Amino acid sequence: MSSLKVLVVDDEPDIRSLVAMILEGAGHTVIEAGDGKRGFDLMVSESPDVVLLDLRMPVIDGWEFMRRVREQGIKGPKMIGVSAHASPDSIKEAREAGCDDYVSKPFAMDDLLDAVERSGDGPGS
Amino acid sequence: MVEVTTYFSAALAIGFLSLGVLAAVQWRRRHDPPSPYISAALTSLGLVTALGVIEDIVGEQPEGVEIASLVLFMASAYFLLLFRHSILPLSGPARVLSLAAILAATALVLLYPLPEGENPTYEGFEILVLFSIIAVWGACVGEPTFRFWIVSRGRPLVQRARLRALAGAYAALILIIFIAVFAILGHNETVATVATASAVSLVPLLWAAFAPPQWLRRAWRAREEDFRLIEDLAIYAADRREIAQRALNRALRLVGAEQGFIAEPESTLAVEQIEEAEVHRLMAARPTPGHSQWREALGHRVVILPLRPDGGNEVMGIVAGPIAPLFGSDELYQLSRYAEVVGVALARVRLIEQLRDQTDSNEALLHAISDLGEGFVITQAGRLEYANEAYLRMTGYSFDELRALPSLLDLSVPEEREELAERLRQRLAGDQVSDHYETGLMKKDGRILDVEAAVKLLQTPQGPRIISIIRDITERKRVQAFRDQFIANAAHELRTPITAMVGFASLLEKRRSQMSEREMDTVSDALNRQGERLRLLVANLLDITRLQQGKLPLELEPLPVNEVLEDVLKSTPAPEDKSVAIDASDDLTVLADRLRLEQIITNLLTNAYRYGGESIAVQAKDDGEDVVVSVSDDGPGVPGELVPSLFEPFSRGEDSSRVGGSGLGLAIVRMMAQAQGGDVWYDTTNGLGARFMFTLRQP
Repeated sequence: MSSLKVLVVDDEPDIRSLVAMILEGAGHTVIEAGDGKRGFDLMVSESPDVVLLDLRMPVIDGWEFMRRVREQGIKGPKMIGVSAHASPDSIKEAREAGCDDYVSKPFAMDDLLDAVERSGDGPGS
Repeated sequence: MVEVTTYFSAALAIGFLSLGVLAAVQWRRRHDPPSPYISAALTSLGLVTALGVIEDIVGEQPEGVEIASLVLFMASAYFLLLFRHSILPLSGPARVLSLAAILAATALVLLYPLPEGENPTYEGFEILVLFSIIAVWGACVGEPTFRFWIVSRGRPLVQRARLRALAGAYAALILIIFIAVFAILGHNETVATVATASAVSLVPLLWAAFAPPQWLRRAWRAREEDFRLIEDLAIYAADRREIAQRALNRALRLVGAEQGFIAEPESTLAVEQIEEAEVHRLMAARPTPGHSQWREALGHRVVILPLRPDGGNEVMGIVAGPIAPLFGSDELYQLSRYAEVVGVALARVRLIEQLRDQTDSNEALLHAISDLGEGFVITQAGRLEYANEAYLRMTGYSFDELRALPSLLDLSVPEEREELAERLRQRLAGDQVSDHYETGLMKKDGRILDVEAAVKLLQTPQGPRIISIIRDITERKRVQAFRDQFIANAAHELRTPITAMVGFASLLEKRRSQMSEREMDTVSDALNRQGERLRLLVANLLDITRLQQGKLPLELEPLPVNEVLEDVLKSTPAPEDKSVAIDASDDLTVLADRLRLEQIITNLLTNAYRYGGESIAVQAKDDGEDVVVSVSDDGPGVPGELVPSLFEPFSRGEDSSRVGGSGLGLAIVRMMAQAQGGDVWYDTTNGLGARFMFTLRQP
């Protein structure tokens, strides 16, 4: 399995460093963004393989982020939604908004890794 | 030769004696107290007359006859007085005095016998003796004559007639006796004959007066009965007691009685001249209820008549008295017929009263439902028939406006209308449909109310009706939505620290051996930070929950503001790059709970440390009524779009995650300020930086 370049967009610094430590420990490269606006810029400039996107953030939240992705026709990275809402509805909504996968908080380390590596295996769509 | 006068005298004697015997028989039959007296009086007078007749026939006076005549004559006076006493009681002294007068007059005659023989002549003392006899007798009989007449005035018709008949009878007696004496003393045979004959003719009148025959009683009643129709109309009064009282008074008038009652087994409806306790005793003494007859009970002679033909327990009791000592069968018949009419009237009013009670309680029920704020509606096939005030208030329509609608379904929200109409059809068809549901109701002003309806089909004599109780649950829904949102927010806020802590913990478990020193520090810092965040969040959530439930006990006491501010600043000092200036006069005191006041100030200060500028000012002022405390800084201030929801739980600015906090601080501040009788707001008039202000009451 190859090393992936993962963009983590989350407003919680501790969650970002947690995700970074999990992924870097597994040999992946991580770039971090503390809000949606900066995250979107980094996604465009860095072209990551996978984006881990917190759906609930101030100013530009995950939904707005995904709307912009659709609008601008960005197809490169795999999008994984991350949220504290784990109801079937929120999973469905995330998929409809364009997310390829969904991880709910709190997540187990392996679940997060599995989701990232599963996305990285497939061809970019 | 026996003269014609003697025959008439004999007839007179027979008349008196017959009346005496009749009265005695009556007394034997009915135990009527006055009867023995009248019997004795008339018998005495009869004997006196008879002795005179014997003397006439025999021609000479046997020894002692004269004396016996006189004694009997005077005795008749005393009996007549006693008769009067049994109807209109005499005072003790009057009785003694009259008895003494009678005895004295009798003794006088015994001591000084009057002259005898044909055409005796009286002289000197003898005239005085004769006069005293006549005077005493005349007084004993004449006084009742006037007394009966005087007392009769102003009495009800039948009583008046009875008393006047008695007065007439006494007058007739005096007349008879004086005529007889005149006849004896008169020297003209023709005059004596005419006088005696006229005395005889008065005898039947005596009987009519002492024991009035049916036809006479009917005549007396006639005028009372004339009023009957009018009074029966008057009986249609609304109140049972009033009817009973009127009916009783009329019954008493009808037979000339004075005491009576109308009673049920448990209560007395009307009484006249008799104690209620006495009525209860009489009722209890009744051997067989529902049977009308005379009886003597507890010293009363009473007739008890059932008021209902079926012999129910309501009765009318008429107590015999001195003026109406006896009732004939015709009077009993009249009374029992009257009692039945009264019974019907009472039953009718009882029905009306029951109906009115029921209507009253129904209306009270409707009013009670209105008071509870529940809408109450009755519809027929969807169209409104009745709506209470609460429903009208709820919808904003007037009754007439609602009445004009073809169906109340027009008020339901369009998307539910079809379903509700179908449900109504099923309900009217008798199908089982849910009785309770929530729906939307469009008010007149276009707003939509969330309501809960409880609906029931009611079969009435006028056809099927639907009754609905409508409850406005908009506020409940709002509270529920707020609570749901609060719980979702709280869960979300809890997930972040939990995610971080669980994640770092498992990272430690799996990768500790491969971790650098720097990584270990990052992990332990994050664990501490998130743990503290979790602790604060849980503590705040508990505070809010207690405040919402009103379970946070407050101990209000006068507190010096300055001191409290200094204390808070000591326990929550400003970070190194910031400074706090306190401006409050020493004598300023507030009525507050110390712990809660400190928490308010701490939360506002912490906010200023996190989001505010470098210099922070805390000011306390007396605005004349309350103490106003402001916490301001020279930072960027609260973004305009955040201000309206600033004090709502979990409303936070964009950078909040960087600076920590639970999102509950200001919500708690507001709840605590309000719980202590004050309030808090964000001062939008402050151009530079943020300024929070709160008020507190003064002691």
